[in-house]
Amino acid sequence: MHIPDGLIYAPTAVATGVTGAGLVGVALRKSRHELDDRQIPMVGVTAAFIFAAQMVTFPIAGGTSAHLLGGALAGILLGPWLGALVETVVYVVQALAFADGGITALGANVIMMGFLPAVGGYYFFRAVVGALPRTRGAFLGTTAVTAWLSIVLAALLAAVFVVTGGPLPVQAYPIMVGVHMVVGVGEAVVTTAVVAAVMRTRPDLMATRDLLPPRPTEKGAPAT
Amino acid sequence: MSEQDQPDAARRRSLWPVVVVGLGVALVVGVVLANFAASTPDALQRVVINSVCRDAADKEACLAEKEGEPVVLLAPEALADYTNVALSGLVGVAATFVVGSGLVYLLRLTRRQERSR
Repeated sequence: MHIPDGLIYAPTAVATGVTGAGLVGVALRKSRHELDDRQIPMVGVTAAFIFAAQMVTFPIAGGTSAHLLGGALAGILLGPWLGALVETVVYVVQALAFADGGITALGANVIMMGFLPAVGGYYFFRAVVGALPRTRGAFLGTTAVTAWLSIVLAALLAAVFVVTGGPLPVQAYPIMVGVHMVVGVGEAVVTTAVVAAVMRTRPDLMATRDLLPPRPTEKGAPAT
Repeated sequence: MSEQDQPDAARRRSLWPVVVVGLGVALVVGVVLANFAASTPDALQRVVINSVCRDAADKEACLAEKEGEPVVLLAPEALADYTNVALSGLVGVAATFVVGSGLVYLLRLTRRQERSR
C-alpha cells in the first residue's frame, strides 16, 4: 500500500509532508513524557519485526499481494505515540534505503499507514476493550477487529490521497477497500498471534496492560 | 545455571530475552521467510494497472501497447527495490532496530537534561 513518488500531486505531497512532520513532532513530545527505559529496546525490536514482516508479501485473490502493516500491533503493544514513531522509523528506512514508498509521499505514507492505525487503532482498542468484560477472548477479539479495521481505513485514506489528491480514477476506492477487506484478515491473524504471544510471556511490557484480563488461576474456566 | 535458579521477578524484569528473541524472529522473517514473498503487484499497483486498461478485453496486450505512458511507469516503480532479499532483510532489520532504539534513547536523554536543569 506504500504510495510511490508521482501517485500524489505536489500540493498533496506538501500538505501531507507538513502534516506528517507535525504529527511526528507531537508523537516525539508525547512519548518523551511517557517513555520509560524499558521501552527503548522494545521500540527497536518492534520496528525491526515490522520492517521484516513488511517484506513478506502474501498473495491475495485476483493477482494482487499484500503484507502486514503492523500499525495497530505497534499501538496496542507500545501505545499510540511510540507505536506511530515505530511505524515512522520503518517507513523512513524503507523510503531512504530501499525506495519502498516515495520520498515525496513519505508524509502521506506515515499518516495513512502509521498514525492512522497506531493512534486511531490504540484509542479504538481502548474504548472497545474498556466496554467489554475483562476476558482473554474480548482482548484478543478486539485486537483482531482493530487490526482489520485499521487496514480497511488505511486503504480508504490511501485512496483519498491518490484519487482526490492524485491522478488515479475513482475506481481506486472499491479496489483499495475491497482488496484490503481481505488483506485485513491476514493483518488480524498476525497481529492477534503476536499480541497473544506477548500477552502470555511479557504482559508487563504492554502499553495496554491495564486492560488485560486477570491472570487465570486455573485452566479451562468456563467462558462467560 | 538453569532458568529455575533465577528468581521469578528478576527473570520477568530482564529485557535481554525479549530483545534476543524479538530480533531473532525479525531476522528469520526478514532474511529467510521474505525469500518466499509473492511478487504480484499490491492493491495500489493493481489500481494503477487497471486504471490504464480498465475497459480493454486483453489487459496484458493493452498494457504492452501503453508501455511508456507516465501512469504505467509508476506501477513497476512501486515495486520495492529489495533485489538481494536476504541482505536487504539483514540491513533493514539492523537499521530499524538501531534507528528506533536510538531515537527513543535520545528522547530519554533530552528529558533527563531538562529535569536536571
